[in-house]
Amino acid sequence: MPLFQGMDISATGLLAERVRMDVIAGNIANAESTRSGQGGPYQRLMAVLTAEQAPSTTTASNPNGAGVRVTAIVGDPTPFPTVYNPSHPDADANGYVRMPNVNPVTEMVDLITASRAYEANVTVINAAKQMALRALDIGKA
Amino acid sequence: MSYCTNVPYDYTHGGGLQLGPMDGVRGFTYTGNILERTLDALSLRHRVTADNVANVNTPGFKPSEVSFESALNAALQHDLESGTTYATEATQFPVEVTRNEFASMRADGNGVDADREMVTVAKTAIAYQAVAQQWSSMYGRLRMAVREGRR
Repeated sequence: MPLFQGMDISATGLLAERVRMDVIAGNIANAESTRSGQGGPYQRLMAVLTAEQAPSTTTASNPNGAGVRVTAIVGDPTPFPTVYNPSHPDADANGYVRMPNVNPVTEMVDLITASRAYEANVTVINAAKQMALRALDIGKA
Repeated sequence: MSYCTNVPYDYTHGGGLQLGPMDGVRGFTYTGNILERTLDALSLRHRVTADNVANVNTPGFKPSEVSFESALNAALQHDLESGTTYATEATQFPVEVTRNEFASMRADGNGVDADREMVTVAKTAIAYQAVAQQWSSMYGRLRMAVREGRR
């Protein structure tokens, strides 16, 4: 049984949650951006997490779960909300501005989820560390 | 009174070496084997739990769990009653990983119960440390025997 495999799996969790937090940070930062590279307002992004499988086949003593990976960062297809603001430089002929489809409340909730999941992975790594250090003590006087 | 320590076990036939029922000490090899297998199983459980926690936000992910305690208990009980060494054999000590396909905690189909997983992490780490400590103290007893009780 490889000693550090559990830690590697937790590390994939840390990485995935950090990417999620980065994406959320980008969404919050652009919550009011009415212009973007694609033209139109900023489109909210989402990280897609996928469970990672080791190449080996699953047996009773060798499960192939190998952590998690961010496989894609996709745009949120929700329509852009419009706000009446005739003085805005991006307002259309009727005075309406298309705003980003970012909801700050949703982002904050996602941010808390990501940060709690990050902490959970850190706790698991600490447990693995304790176990590994104790295993090193076997046979010591 | 016959003590039967460090007898080389014969793994070639099914039941292992036959000792009389409760015929004294079964030997450090036996204890060491069981402790080793238990450490392996706990280490596997940690790995599986780490995978569950890493996928706590993956839509549709179903958690797995490792079970070996009842099988180990049955094998130990069998050895205790009939003086065999079943518990040291892989076939008699099955470590099973089962995926709970029906668990669902959220609308996205994820089945990881974060609270339960964190308790499993803590329990596994403590159990692992306990078993490792047992192993150390077993070596301590062996060392004491080698030195004829002197320090």
